[in-house]
Amino acid sequence: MKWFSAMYSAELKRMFTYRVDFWVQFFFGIAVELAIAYFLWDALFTIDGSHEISGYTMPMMMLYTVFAAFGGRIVRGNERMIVASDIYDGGLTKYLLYPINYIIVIFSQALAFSTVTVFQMALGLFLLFAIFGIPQEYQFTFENMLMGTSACLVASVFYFVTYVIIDYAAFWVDTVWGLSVMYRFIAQFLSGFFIPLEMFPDSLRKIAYFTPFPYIGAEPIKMFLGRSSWQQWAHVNVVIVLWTIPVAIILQIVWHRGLKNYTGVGI
Amino acid sequence: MIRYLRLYCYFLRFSFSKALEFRVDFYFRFLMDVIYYVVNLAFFKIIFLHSKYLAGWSEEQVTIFVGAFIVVDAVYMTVFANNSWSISALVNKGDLDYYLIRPISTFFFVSLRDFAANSFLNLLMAGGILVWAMTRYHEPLGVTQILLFLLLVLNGAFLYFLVAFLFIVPVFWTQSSRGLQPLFWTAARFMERPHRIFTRYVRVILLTVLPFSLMASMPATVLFESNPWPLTLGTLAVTAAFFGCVLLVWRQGLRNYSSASS
Amino acid sequence: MTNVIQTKDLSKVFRVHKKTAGFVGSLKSLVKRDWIDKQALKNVSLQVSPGEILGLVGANGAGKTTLVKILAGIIHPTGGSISILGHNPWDRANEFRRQISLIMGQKAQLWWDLPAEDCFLLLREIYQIPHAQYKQNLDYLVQSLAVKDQLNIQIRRLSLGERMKMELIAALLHTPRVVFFDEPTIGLDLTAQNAIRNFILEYRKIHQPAMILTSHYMEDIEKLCPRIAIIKDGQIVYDGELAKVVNTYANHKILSLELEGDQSQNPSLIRDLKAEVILQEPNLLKLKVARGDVASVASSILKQMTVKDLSIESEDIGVIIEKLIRRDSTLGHPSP
Repeated sequence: MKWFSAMYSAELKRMFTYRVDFWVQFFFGIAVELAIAYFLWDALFTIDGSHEISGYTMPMMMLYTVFAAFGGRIVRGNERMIVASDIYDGGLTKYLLYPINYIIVIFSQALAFSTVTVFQMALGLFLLFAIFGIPQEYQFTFENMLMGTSACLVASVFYFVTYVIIDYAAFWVDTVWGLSVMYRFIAQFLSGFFIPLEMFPDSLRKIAYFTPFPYIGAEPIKMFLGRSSWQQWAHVNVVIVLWTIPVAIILQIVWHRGLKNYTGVGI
Repeated sequence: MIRYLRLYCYFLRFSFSKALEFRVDFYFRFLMDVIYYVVNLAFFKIIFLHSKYLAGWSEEQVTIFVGAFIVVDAVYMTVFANNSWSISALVNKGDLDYYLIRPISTFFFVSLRDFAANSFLNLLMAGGILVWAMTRYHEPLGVTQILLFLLLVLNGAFLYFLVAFLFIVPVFWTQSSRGLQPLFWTAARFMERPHRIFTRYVRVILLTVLPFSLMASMPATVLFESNPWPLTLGTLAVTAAFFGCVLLVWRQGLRNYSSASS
Repeated sequence: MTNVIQTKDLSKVFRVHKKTAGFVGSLKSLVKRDWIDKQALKNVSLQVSPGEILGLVGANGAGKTTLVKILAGIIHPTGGSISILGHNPWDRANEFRRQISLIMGQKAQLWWDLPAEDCFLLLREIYQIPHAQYKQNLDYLVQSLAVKDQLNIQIRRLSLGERMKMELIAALLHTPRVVFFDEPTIGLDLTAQNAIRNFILEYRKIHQPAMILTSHYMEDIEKLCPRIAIIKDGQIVYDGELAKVVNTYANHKILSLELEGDQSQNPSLIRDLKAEVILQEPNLLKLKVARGDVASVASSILKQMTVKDLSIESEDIGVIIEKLIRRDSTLGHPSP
């Protein structure tokens, strides 16, 4: 497993020496998300002078958005369709020749990315709290951070295997981009990234909980907000793992089938 | 003028014939946009479960607004997107050369050559949703308003292209492979919200320097306005200014352009 | 005959910024950048008249492609003047662009996903070629290059040779008066190379465009360019007839002899000749002889050995040009 840590640290190093635009993009993206959310919720909250919508006050809604933004990025990882491009341009070939498992290589990179994102979240939270202060009704504890972050990291493994399966479609189909975007959209919507699930109509929320997505989004966010418990945390992780196992099995099957189709010079 | 119109017909003709080759891309794009439209409509529907108004608009009005921005998106994806994406590759790999030696405007050629016929169905679908949203609006809409609204929606797609272009154009000067495109995609999300939720400075910026609110929100505003002309002309003026800007920057970029291999 | 292409003291300087490696280097380059000036072309003055093919020869990076691109209006020159058909290429006037053509062997101009005939139709529209003329040109070009059956196949499915032929057709459909070829036969097999060279000669006979051709293949230059310009480090070091290059700079001739019997019995005979032995095999002898000594060496051999066959050749043009490019000191001085 030594090479795993080698790849992992290589990817970490690469990300830190990355050009300015990577970091700018990250924080700009978060800033825009927060800004748009702020104006939207502000407009909603001030309409009938209501102070609470579905159990969220304005400050809590903003906190929700903050944790959704950071947590979501930890879970979703790099999203650069690396695997699909490797299949298309033949970059996969060299990995097939190395005495290592391709999927582990990609996973080590994804894990490195998620790790850096945790660091970025810490930095971002510090800045936000320093500038805007901590809302009165919120209690920031390191325990909550630990709960939420660990759940996000476990969730990132699930998201990783699903994302790679979609990328594997590249073995058969000449463009995977549309499929990828579709998945991302559905996942984000059902995980409560756009709107807290508490605001969903009951029927829709029930349907959402039949999918794994609330467990990789809304539930970890609840942990960050201090609205969860260690019991719930265990439950969430178990659910995620239970979803991950069959997907990982399918992943292996698809990989083997797909390799048979691989021509080595891009399809 | 006519000449360029005829030329564009040729672009269309060949884009369609080539697109039919990529059936899978066609299906995926269609499905992807269906999801995009459904999620956006659902998003606002859920919001309206908790309030009767948003930024001064009723649910019906906001639905029209959603129809407007998905049409802007569809028009952009069909007419301009493939070309925008190619620009950075053309500059970085030095493939602009052949475009430069043709006896037609390079800007026209580069911006419009590739019509994404694969997205054509999405355009129809988005249009359909917009028409549906407009017909279910319970108050009568003036003919002038409707016409100006549609004009501004098309203008919105063009403006979207112009702003995107300005974010891409740094490729002429930097070694970056995509220019500032990722920043653009992030900022473009401002187009998907009614501009009245934004206050003061932010709203001003979104109506002028980063005119995302002029792309869909302003057209929708014009639709409900008793005197639509001032807002319409203002929007068109900003678009014209951006067009001028883009041409200037393009010319500067070409001056800087020296092919990748010498 | 008036010159179609005329340049005077053309120069081009590229500013390249120097970047130090690593993270610190990247940070530094955000604030301050070191620039190096790379002089790609210096004082280039050329003329080409209608019907003339000028060959541009030089090492990689000497400036050939840069020159061609400046002439086509793609890159703007740093100094000097150019006039092509009365236009300044950098202005990129439509009138100018309608009459020129550029073919780059290493870059495709046709659209990968369209069949050749669709590409041609699109170009017809772009150049506004009248229908009758278009048909006439197309028929002639397709027939000369024998690609009729490949017209409706997508470009990306064609072989390299077929694709190059389509590129040629595409470039000549609008009957340009100026054609720039940049490595047109690179990577092609011999048959395709010959076909293209013959075609270019035929085309020139009929249409008399002014042409500039760059190539690394000596056969291209020898077959197509009666006149060449040699570029070294951005400067023209020779501009004149190809034949003259040989006469001017080649002070040696190659004597090839097929001999009867084994000549190893007479090593002293060969040693005494005023010649450098290039190749010595039992029945074959190749000697490099100074121009002035050819007659005496040949007659010595003929007198003392049994010669079955004898030929006298000039030193290989490619070798000579390469020497010129390198300013080789073994090169003879130009004879008066």
